[in-house]
Amino acid sequence: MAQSVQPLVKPAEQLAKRDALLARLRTIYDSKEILTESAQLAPFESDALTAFHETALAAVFPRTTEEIAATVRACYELDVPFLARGSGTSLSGGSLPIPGGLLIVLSKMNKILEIDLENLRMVVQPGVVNIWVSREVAAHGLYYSPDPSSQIVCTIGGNIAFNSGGAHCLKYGMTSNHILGMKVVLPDGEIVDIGGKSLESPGMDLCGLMVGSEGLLGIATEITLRLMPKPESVKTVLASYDQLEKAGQAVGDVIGSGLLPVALEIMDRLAIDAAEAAVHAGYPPDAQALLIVELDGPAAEVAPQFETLIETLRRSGASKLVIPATEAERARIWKGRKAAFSAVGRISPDYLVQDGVVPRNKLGRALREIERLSQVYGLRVANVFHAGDGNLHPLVLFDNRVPGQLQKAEQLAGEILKMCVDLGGSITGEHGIGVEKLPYMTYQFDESDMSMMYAIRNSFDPKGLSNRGKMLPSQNPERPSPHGPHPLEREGVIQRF
Amino acid sequence: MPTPFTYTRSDLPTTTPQSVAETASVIREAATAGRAVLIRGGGTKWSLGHQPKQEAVVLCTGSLTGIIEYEPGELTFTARAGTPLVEVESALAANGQYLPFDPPFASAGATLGGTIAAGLSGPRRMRYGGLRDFVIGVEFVSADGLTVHGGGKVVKNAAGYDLPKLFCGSLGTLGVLTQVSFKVFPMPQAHRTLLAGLDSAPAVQSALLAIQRSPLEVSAADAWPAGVIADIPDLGKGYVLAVQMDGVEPSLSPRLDRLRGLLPSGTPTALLEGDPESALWSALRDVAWLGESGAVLRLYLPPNRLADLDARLQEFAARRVYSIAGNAGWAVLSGDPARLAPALEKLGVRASVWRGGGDGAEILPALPGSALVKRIKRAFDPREVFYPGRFAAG
Repeated sequence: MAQSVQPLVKPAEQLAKRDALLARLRTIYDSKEILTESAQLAPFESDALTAFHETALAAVFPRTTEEIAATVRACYELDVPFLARGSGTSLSGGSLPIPGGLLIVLSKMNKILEIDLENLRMVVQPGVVNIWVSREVAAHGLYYSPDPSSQIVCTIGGNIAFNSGGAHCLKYGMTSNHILGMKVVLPDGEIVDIGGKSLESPGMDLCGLMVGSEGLLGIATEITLRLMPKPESVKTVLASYDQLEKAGQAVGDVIGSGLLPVALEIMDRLAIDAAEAAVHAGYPPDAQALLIVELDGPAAEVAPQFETLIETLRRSGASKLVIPATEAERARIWKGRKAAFSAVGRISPDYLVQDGVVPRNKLGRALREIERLSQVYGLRVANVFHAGDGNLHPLVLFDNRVPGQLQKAEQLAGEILKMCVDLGGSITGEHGIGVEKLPYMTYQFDESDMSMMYAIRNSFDPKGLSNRGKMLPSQNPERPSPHGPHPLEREGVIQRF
Repeated sequence: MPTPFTYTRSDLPTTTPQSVAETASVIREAATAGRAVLIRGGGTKWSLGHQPKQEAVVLCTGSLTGIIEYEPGELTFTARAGTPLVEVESALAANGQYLPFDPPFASAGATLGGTIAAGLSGPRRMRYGGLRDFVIGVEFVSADGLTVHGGGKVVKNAAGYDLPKLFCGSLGTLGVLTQVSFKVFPMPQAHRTLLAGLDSAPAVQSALLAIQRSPLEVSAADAWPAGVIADIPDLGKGYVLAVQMDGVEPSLSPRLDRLRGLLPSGTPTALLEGDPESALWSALRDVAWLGESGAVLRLYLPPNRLADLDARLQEFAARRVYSIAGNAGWAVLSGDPARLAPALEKLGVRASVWRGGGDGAEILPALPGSALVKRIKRAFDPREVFYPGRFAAG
């Protein structure tokens, strides 16, 4: 049971505010759609960044845009912070409740509103789970490209908040590249429609601003997604290397060969061990690093490109190439890769997941630096990453039973993030800032950059109520502990990226 | 060489700052004097948006040029915002890379910053995405004269608000872009174009929907009533469809065969390659066919509205070309373009007025997100230095 950081005795003002809010909420919702008891609120105390726990003032379960707008207006008038939550799979604490704030749980806004097969669009509510979209249109030969590893539980609303990525961003981009329109409830309850069904839209790119704004600018309630025809041919190869650095170099070779793979993924020895222990992916036992490369597209195009790829990998010094002959074999390769994070639990009692980006040509340097830091701190670091995007996911392994190890692990993870910025990259590629990376925002962005972000925030939400305390380092909450896997992750239902 | 939207305001005072610091001084001075600033890159898309009436100064980015960082292995580059597209495109081409969103007006002097500000991509943006999908970082001088950064130099980045995307289509209403970073892709080895003659707009729509639905990954699909684009082989008196396929050479023939299979049997077709092919796509991208007179609309539509829209445009005697498999288009017509607004509204089609809008709305029908744009404008430009009302409520 997580510990609550709510004060035991609430000041009278706080109580009055709570009562006033609940009275307003009762005019919007049935009483069973309003949760106020701490036992009822307990399941919402954390997201996938399990180190953090907070208890919300209350939780509500809207079904319509109008209910959300009325809820937000009530919060705005009464100065109560609020936050919309999907499945709570944020790895950065982005959906952590705000102390004294209202939780707007979107699980009942899970309807597919329109499937437009002619135009290749789907209009969904934010609580629709990512994988449902592709499943819904699979029979029509269509799919939705962004595929975060938690896609069997994470929602489209959450994907929008954090501009979620996945393993196939190199060719097709992230969530932002697949959202064409949305209805948004702004932080003061105003409802606006932006974008539309066309691939192009006039005026400034408002969808572009909303996606990745971590819930600070409003709540998307109807979202127009772009569907794509399923690629006709998908070809995958698994290359093993006797040195991690060679695998990193091979990434450059593949890009340099003029190919545009849909995925380029690397796992190091420690990550391979973990994946093998968990799902027996059948990875080569002697490899120090594995590179997974996937091409997709029209069959007539992929076939000759795949030959170029194999030739490039041979020349890059791969000790072994495995080309899956069947879809089942291909799925096994990906299963090991996607399970790598949760699998790390098999080789370490605790671990921190990090998410940073470096320019591709600095991958080798970044890996050497991570190795050095690992030795300095005396903690193991497993590396699994979207190498094609330069997106690192180092896993810092530690044992929370050893006093001081968590702090050391956090420090080490922080040094890795700073290194990403120093190398010209970013502190997050796809997990977002949330609460976890607040301390590093000002390392990446200078005072002017930050002041512009605050100006946008203030213009949308002068009271700073919408997802208060996330993304912009102002009201940074306390950081409770300890770390550990999300319950769903422990059961192997979701993975970390 | 002029474009249909070329800069014509030689009456306005112009200043050409030599550095970011000088740019900031221009903005600070204008703010103090209460003078509005209009930003000009290559002047190739000037007629978009409201033309200045009050006292205004034109800030030209013509001296903020040059590629700052370009490592081909990175598939990204960073350049000053006033850098002409031709300079970037030739540097990329030397390394077998290109800008997949096919930006127009390079040969007329278009710049990177102006391309972002106008939010315009070309017909060959179809396969890999538009301008917004390739801008990864911006540096700009804000209304306070501060140098502000958004995004970064890496292809994947989820830190902070996505300002690079917001600047797409903002037409100089948020700040002066001084430096920009883009993602690029390897240039396809080969390409070829299939031309087809179709009888009617509904036949064009069906063909485009089928193409978009197929896994052939075409790189462009445009269509127009016969005669609009010059020097195209005679394929009948109805509509011409042009579809470009790119990729490795051996893949083109089989894919083009399958493409033909998506068209009604008996459809007359022709293959286009080499110089005539390049000339066609340059003409479709740089829209010289729009000519010098008449109001010009850029159309944004759901592809299944093409046939209905075409019937309306024909009633208004508009010359027109559809692009990106019917997601967008251009039309030129005489008279006040606002006459079209009710018809567009009914069809769920939107248009931006690129020329000849007079004092009327610059987006038809009015943009529903304008409440949101006003908030953005307030955040970026509370003192209204960047010509308020220039475009789309910004």
